[in-house]
Amino acid sequence: MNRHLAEGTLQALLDGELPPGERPAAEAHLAGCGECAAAARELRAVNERAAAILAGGDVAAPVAQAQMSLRARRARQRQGHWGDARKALLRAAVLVLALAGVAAAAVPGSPVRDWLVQTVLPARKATLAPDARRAPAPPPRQADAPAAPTGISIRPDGGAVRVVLTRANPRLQVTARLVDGDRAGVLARGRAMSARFRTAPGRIEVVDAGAGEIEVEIPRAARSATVEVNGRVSVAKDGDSLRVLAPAGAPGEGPAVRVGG
Amino acid sequence: MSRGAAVDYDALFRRLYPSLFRYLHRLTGEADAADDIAQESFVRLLGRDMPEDEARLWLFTVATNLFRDGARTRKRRERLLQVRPWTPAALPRPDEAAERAATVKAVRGALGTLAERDRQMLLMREEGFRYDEIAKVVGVAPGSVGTLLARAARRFVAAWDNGGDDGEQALG
Repeated sequence: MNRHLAEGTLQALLDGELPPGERPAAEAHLAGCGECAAAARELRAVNERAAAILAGGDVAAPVAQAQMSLRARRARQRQGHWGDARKALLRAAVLVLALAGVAAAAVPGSPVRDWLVQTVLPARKATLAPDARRAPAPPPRQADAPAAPTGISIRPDGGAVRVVLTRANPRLQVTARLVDGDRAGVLARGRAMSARFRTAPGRIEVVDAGAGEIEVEIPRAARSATVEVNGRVSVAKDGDSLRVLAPAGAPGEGPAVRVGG
Repeated sequence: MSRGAAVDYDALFRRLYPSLFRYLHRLTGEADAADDIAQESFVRLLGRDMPEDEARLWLFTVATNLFRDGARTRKRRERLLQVRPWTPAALPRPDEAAERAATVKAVRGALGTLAERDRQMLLMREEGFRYDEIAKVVGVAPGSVGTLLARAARRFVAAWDNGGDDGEQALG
């Protein structure tokens, strides 16, 4: 082989990917060609540097934590499947009963038809009669159960936490408090649940929170923490406590920010 | 994970997750995002019965597609958010964390100078995929993988030496 080896061939040789039929000839050429041998050494060095640079930014994979989280998701998924199956069976049973009832009512002399004639029809007539205008009061409507709050939590990055609220509604109420544990979190209640969340290392962004309540939980152990509301640092961790630095807007014009117990 | 046998997903997860997480962390530069995408990929794997090698390639393919979809959404969201740059003066960070964050950013910057296909090939090679697997996922001829990888590695190292693009690029 007189021609020099192509770079792709050298790369495949270095990666052990050259087809078996080509490998002996390529290795023989490399052994006798100083120029190709030097090119192979240089290419190996490039590959090793690329690998080292990539590895320089790696972090440990959170295997145990991710596995727990995945197990929980699988469990929820299984529950969801059972729930769907139960609902389908229930719907089928109701449909069968309804069809059976209709069929029975259509048969002259059947007990179902007799019952309809004796009870349901007279009651309907009574409802339509003028002296029966006072319908029984409807049962008091139950207050809607409050929806569960939505939220997100992260671990501090190097002990630092930054919570950033942008385009928060002026009537939003923000409460920051210190908590035990190692995660910082944001909970949205009421109309603030319209907010969208985004996380980055040590940072939670909350966008478009409506006129509800936002609770910010800062780990007591965090080295530093701030809560920014509409562009202003409103709360900062000062030693073992949280301090309100500045209101988010003029009195009555911006979200109310306070520190909770 | 052989066909027909009961699949031990926990064992499979422990074997494959670290590599998938590393690949995604290099792509996204964010540990939370890498973890989210990796988990979602595993969730989609549940119930599928395929040999482990095939499952590994399948996971990386799904994860790459999820990353691409997420990158498009993220770009739109970032435009809306108008995220301001991190200001170390306002919030001091420990030196070690700041240094690591800078390294991750620089690696992403250098990767951002590569075409998406080259970036994916380089990262898949680093995770030990064979040329035929890489070729299948990125859609090139197996015979061209060596050439493309050599070029990608050179460009990546050169971009790193030149300081990348002096900042983080949106990948994807």
